[in-house]
Amino acid sequence: MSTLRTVRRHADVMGTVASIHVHDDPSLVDPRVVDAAIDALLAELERLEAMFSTFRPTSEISRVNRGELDLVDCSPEVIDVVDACTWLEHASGGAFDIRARGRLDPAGFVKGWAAERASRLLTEHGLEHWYLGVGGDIVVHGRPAGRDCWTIAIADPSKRSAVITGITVTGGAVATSGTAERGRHLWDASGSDADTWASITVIGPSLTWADAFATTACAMGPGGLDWVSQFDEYQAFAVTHQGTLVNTRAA
Amino acid sequence: MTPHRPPTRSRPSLARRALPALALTSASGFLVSVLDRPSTIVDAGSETSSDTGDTGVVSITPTSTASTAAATTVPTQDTTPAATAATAATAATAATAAPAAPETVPATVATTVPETVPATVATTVPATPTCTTYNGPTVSTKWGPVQVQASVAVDGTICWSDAIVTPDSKNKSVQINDRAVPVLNDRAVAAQGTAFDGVSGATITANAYKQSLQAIIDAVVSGQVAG
Repeated sequence: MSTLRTVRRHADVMGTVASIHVHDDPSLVDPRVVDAAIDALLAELERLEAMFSTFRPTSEISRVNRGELDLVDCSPEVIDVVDACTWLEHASGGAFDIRARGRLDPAGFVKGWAAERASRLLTEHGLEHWYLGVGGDIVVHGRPAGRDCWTIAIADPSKRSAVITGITVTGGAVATSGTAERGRHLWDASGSDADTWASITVIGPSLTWADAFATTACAMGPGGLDWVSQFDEYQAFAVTHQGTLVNTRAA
Repeated sequence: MTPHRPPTRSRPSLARRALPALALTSASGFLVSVLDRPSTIVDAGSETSSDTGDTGVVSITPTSTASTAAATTVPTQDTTPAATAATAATAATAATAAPAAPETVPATVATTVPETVPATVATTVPATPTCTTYNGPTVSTKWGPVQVQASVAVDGTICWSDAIVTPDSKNKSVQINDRAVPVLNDRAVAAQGTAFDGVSGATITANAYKQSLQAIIDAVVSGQVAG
């Protein structure tokens, strides 16, 4: 049994903190490869932030919103995101909305999408066992050193405690949305429905969709949990303002 | 590769398919009378959105400004086998409990957790052998305490860092199997006493994280603690 090595790094990206844990076998993976993989991941997150951030006047999104850039002339990444957001808007009956006050703002979608996209660079560098968390959106691959699955804490959205529950996952993504995360950042398409849940956590194979579904389900309110369960391989649970956990209905 | 190809939707159950049809049939008489009049079309997605912004929620007050840094040499390897048995046990529970997963589970007291997590994080930093592990001060946030554990070189270079989450007595666990079916049960998180791999939904802690981490670096660089 060879000795396993864990490399942990963090960085400020996209207005939050990204954490990367790489668990590998030193006899198989050169530590320089681990560093290079993480460097590439962080560079990709930075590149995507520069492309999408509404806080940066030079981003493509900002230029579109100022009328300086036509959407059809945007990068393929921007067009992909707008496409996906448009699909989500229809699939959610308008609960998810990429346009706030007429301006393009895909921030509710980009974080999870960018994290998943960047995480592929770890696999492309030959890394098998890793964790990536970007501002509470998590994607894991393989397994942690010495354990069968990853243990993810779910932040308590309302009480004076850090963690309300823990989940174990063997692979895939975990994303949580709610009013606790960064204040009220959810689009509220139907009055006060977005206040039904304190937070919603979605578990599934893709961080892009786990994050997008969590955001959307919060905005949908009472029907949000069941709405997520229609999608194959995606599961959700909510934390109420009273601190109880609510599971999706058993199929 | 299409990174964001929408997931497929499950085929609806017979009841889910039949009930809307029944409802529509019974309502058709009413609908016929209504459809004769012009209807109001509501576009829920365009006009009613509101952006309340990222305001006013973050409230971080340090409870302790002194670094509690306890120098602990990082072990060169640690495969932490302790969690494996408990994880297997909870997995078995998940399998048996799956069909009867309750919709609502009250968050009752499940366990107590040590205040300070032992520094047994498995880490090897071959390129920087002088790194030393410290626990940062606990920073209070509206949502709970945040404490960072970091390995720092004498010049303040961060070798690695990670948040230590301190679960309170309301711990409950949700077991997720390979098919990602969440099952709520009363078991405490198997890894009590150890750090989680990560926290979902905890963007709020980012500032507290930096605060706790900065305290470690400041203390090391200023020589308040042995490097």
